[in-house]
Amino acid sequence: MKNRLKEFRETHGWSQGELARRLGVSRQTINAVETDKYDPSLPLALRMSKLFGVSVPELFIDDWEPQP
Amino acid sequence: MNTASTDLSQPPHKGRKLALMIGGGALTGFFGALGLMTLIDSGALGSLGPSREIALLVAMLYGFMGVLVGFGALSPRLGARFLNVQDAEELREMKQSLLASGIGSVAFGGVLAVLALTGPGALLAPMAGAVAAGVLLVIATLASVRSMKHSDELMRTVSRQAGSTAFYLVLLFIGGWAAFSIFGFVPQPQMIDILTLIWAILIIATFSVCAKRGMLGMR
Repeated sequence: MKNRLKEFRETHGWSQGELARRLGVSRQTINAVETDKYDPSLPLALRMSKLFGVSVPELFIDDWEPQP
Repeated sequence: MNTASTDLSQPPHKGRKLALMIGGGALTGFFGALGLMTLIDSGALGSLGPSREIALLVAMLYGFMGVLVGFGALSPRLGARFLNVQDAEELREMKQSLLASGIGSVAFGGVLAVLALTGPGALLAPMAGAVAAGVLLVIATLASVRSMKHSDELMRTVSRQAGSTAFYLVLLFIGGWAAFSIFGFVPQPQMIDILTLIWAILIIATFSVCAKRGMLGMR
């Protein structure tokens, strides 16, 4: 799933290592999420959105729309 | 504080590192296998046969991977030159998990090596082999549990997927071999063949999951 994690991270001036430390995960995880190789669990997605002060849909981009 | 400058997602000398990883791995593998085959041919390990020899080669692969990972965890500066990480700091961050993983890999490979070296014509008597394999299996299990405790959700996800993939590969290869041997198309596998396949499949499954997730690309 496409996401704006890198954009928000860079806006805060954090390295991948710094973000990983703040979220309590490995740098590899941050790298995998940023490069769309891994969709984080819901708890981690919520932690990310709290950290950046944005909603989950602002952080993770999903094109799906409900059928009318 | 702006720490973005320390983000090494595009590390220098990527090509050189890739060459070192592939070349070093190939050379170490070649000379390791050559050394093992020379040792086997000398008769120092008893009379083994092809099945046990293949088992020893697979066990050596586990040992090789475990030593590399363990060495990288203990010496991050050198480890960052041949392990697929961004920099030495990443190895320091993952030290506990990697060290346990390295020990587990060596011990798990040791179990297969002991099994290959136990029995008629081989180096170890059955009871000695059983004790050695049991001790190594306990070490491997404890190390794996410790490694998992220090892993985060990505590695636990990869581990679960690798386990699932391995299950289907076991069904395919061991089940297929068993079925074909029932039909009489191929000889029946020996017990050590089945164990070797399980050990080999675990490596194949792990690399396959990592490759599918794009995690084998140079970082």
